[in-house]
Amino acid sequence: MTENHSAPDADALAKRFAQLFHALGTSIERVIRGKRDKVELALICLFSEGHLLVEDVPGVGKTTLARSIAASVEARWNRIQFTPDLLPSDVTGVSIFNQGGNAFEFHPGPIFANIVVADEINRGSPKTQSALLEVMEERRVTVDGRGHPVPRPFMVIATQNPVDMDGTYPLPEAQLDRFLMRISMGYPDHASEVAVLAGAPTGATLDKMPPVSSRDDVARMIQFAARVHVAGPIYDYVVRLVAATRGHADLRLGASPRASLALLRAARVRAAAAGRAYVVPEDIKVLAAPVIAHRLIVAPEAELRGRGPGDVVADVLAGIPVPQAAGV
Amino acid sequence: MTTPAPAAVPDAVPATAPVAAPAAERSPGGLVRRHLSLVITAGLAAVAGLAFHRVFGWAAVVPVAAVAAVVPTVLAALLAGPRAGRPWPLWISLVLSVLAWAGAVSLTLFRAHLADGSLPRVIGIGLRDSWKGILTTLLPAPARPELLVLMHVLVWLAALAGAETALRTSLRVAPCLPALAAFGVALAMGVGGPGSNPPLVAAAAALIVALALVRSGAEGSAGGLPHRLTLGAAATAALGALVLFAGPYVPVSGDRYDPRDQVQAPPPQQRDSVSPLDRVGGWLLSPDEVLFTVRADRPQNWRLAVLDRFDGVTWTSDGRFAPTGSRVPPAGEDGERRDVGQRVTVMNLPGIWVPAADRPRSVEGLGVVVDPVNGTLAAARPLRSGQSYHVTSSVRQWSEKDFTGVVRQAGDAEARAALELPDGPGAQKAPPQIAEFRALAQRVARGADGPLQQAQWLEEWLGTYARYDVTVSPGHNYRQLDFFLGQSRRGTPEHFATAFAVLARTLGLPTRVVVGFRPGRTAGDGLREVRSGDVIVWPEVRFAGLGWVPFDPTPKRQGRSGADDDVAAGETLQKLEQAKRNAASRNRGGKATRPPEPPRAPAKAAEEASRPWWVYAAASPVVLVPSYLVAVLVIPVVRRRRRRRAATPALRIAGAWQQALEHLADVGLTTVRTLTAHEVARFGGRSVGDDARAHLGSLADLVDRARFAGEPSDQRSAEAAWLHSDEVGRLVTARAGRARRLRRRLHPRSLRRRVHAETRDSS
Repeated sequence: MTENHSAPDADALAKRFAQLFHALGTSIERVIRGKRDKVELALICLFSEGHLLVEDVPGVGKTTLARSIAASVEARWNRIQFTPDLLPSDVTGVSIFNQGGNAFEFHPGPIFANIVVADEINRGSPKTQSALLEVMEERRVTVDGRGHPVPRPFMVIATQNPVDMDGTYPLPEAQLDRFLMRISMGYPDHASEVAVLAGAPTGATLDKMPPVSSRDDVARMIQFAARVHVAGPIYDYVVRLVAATRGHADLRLGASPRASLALLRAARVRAAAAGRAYVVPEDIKVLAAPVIAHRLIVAPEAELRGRGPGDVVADVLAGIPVPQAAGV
Repeated sequence: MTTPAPAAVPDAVPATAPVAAPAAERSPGGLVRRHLSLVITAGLAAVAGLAFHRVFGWAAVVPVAAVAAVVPTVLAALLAGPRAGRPWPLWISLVLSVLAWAGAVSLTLFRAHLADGSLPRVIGIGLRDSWKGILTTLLPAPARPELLVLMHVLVWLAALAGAETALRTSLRVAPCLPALAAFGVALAMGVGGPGSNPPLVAAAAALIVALALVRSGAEGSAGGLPHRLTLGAAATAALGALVLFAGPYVPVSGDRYDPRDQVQAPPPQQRDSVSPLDRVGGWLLSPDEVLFTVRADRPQNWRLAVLDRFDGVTWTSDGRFAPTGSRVPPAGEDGERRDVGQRVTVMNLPGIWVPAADRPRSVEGLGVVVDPVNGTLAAARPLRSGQSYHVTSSVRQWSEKDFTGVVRQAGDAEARAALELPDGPGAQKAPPQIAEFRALAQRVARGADGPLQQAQWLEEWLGTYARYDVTVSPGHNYRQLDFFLGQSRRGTPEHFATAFAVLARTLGLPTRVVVGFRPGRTAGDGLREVRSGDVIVWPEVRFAGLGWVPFDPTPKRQGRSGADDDVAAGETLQKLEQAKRNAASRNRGGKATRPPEPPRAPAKAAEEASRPWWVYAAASPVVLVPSYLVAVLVIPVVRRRRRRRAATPALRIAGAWQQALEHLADVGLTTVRTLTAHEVARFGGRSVGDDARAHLGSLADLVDRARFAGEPSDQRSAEAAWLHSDEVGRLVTARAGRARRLRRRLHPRSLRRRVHAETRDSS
């Protein structure tokens, strides 16, 4: 519960948060059918002020997800198509000398938006990727010694195509750590795909999506989520989960403390989205895989056995006792 | 040289005053008598020296006696030669004799000290302390110069005094007195030593008669000498024969006089910082350490230490150890014995106690002190690996007739000491365990026919009452023995033997404890390795006329092999056991030996142990089944009631959750350790149905809120939680069926409260 509100207030705010969250999810789901869980994860990223890496094959709605989120929150969004010849300044913006004003003027790049879709980020050069990732972390662009903050809320939704890897520059592990979550959209189920086909000519489109909430609402929701109560045993549970990855036999690299912070931040949002003003172990368990898995490096021998980071997270979750209610 | 004869001296002149030799003495017959007298006095001195053979042995005393008897006699004869009709003054003879004695002992006994300048000091110490050394050493004493010097000086003085008396006086038998005095000293010091003295006494008597006869002709004519010599020889032979053959039959009443009884022996020393009894437990726990090896005629149990004094806490040896050359005095008891020779090589045996079979007779190759009472050997210094020695032991051979009519030992000093049960160091009153031990021993030995059977029954009872267990903590004071007899009933030989000893003492049986070893394992070529695991402890009981009889109350050790090692010793022990049994049976008129009566007190455990097992087997279901039913049916009810009435709403909510989990166990929920509350709810939904899912979901929300919301729960939430929980229980019952629920209720698992990884503070 927040320090400034009594319990009923917190509950009421949590209920309001849940209503908005639910409304946003419903709105987006009209476009991204059958992917409610992915949509909610993306929204959790938004309200956690984190960034989302969507890794999937083309045509499953990665870009549409980003655009629909932007449209739902009445936010400005930009899309950057990463190519090998994309320069950092193409992302961040440049300073141009204005002869009329006899001064350099900063021309913001496409990064200056609330929602930025970095399409096929692994096709950009490492230098350009670094420029983007610096902004993701610091939420400001520094050009000619002057800092230019990006607008709030700020969220980068980067996409990667895991199939066509020719001519790509895979993101280093250190930079993957900057993403709050990595999700895979996956193909829609049969019913959802039928619904997409049936509604294609006249169904909901991005252009027709009404905004569900304003940017101010989003800012307040972010502010509320950051103050959701976390009990002591939850902290302990999170730390034990993350620490368990560091000593896991199948991993070459475990999760960093940044992963613990990210997991807790996301869990707060999920708790608020469930109408609660407190985090429960369920929040941690549900978010553990999306938040932690992409930060892990699986050992080659484990990889040869077909083990992936998701399997390791599942192992860890199955081995760490959940904080329980103690009775008599 | 002249010797005035009393008959030739005027009345006014003393008989011993040196006077001019009369003409008769300077005659050829007088010279012969004089020299014969010197020969006889020298012979008497030599016989006196030989009488020390019981102290040092023949080989040591013969050369010393010869030198000490001959040299001063020759010197006296030379100095007594005629000097203007008068002999040399006596003081010159004495001074020269002293110088001659110093030279003689320096060149013979103390030759080794000539070069290092310690000669005067060593001779002085020898003259001063040799008598104490002899009287405090078991005979035969070692033939060391510092001890032999006493004999040397006594014989020398006897020979010198006898010669001077014979030369300077006309007394007939007075010259023999110094030698007789030395003979008396030798006899007194040799009391208890090996060998006998009648031949020497006979020789001395003959020489005395000869001296009297030879010197009786001093006033007569020289023509009667051959006649007197003939008569004298006949009389000497007759007297000597009489002493030799009749002497041993002279009845002597009372105890013989032994000067050692008048000597205060050195006080007993703490000969070893650790009692061998205290080492038993450690040896048994690491049984493979080779302590010593033995090459013996026949394998025996090797006796290490005899502990006959108990102070309530520890068993120690009360023996006053005496140094010995090699001989160990024999035991006081009669009985058939067999000599067994052993060559022992020390390996890792700690302490000063020297192992040997039964009663040693002699020890060679190692400086030892001996307890003359029980024959225990101890080294002067702690044993070192590689030391080797040879022991000849006299092993008692038991037979059935030994145990016929055995009676209780009379209360001599040794027996009284072996009956003591002190209160313990610092105790203000007698420990209560002694009375309990006495009652126990009397109960075990009730109806026994004599002291032998009492001891046998104690032995048999202990062997069946308790078990051999090397892991039991060592210790044998009253409390530990009470624990051993009353509760644990497990022990090492230390416990069995000391318990037997204490119980036997309460019955008035003089008892001691012996620490020793089994014969050991054969290592080829007649060699046996005795290891730490071979250690044994046994008690011995003293019976009148029989001495100390060993008993073995320790039961056989489970799983111990090595039967071949114990064959010979086993034969001896088996013969002993069989002899005791036969004798006891015959004493009871041929009736079989009654088995020991199981005790009823003080040990309740013993009483329970005597009850047949089937009694417990039959009674246990009658008691256990109803108890179990009550437990599995009542405990869950009590637990639920306690949960529902917990102190705070949060605890009541948690209790409701625990109750719901127990309900779900009836449909297969095995663990919730890594499950969240909603995961459990989903499980319940799948297993029981959607209604249960709804109730469990609501209950999970309440539990999560109570646990993690950071705010106190209210009473309504607690009530709601119990409503959901009860509803879950009802749904589970409907789903699983009452029969299944009853089976689960009857399962022992229902007694166990779910334990969680952590606890929480109630808010």
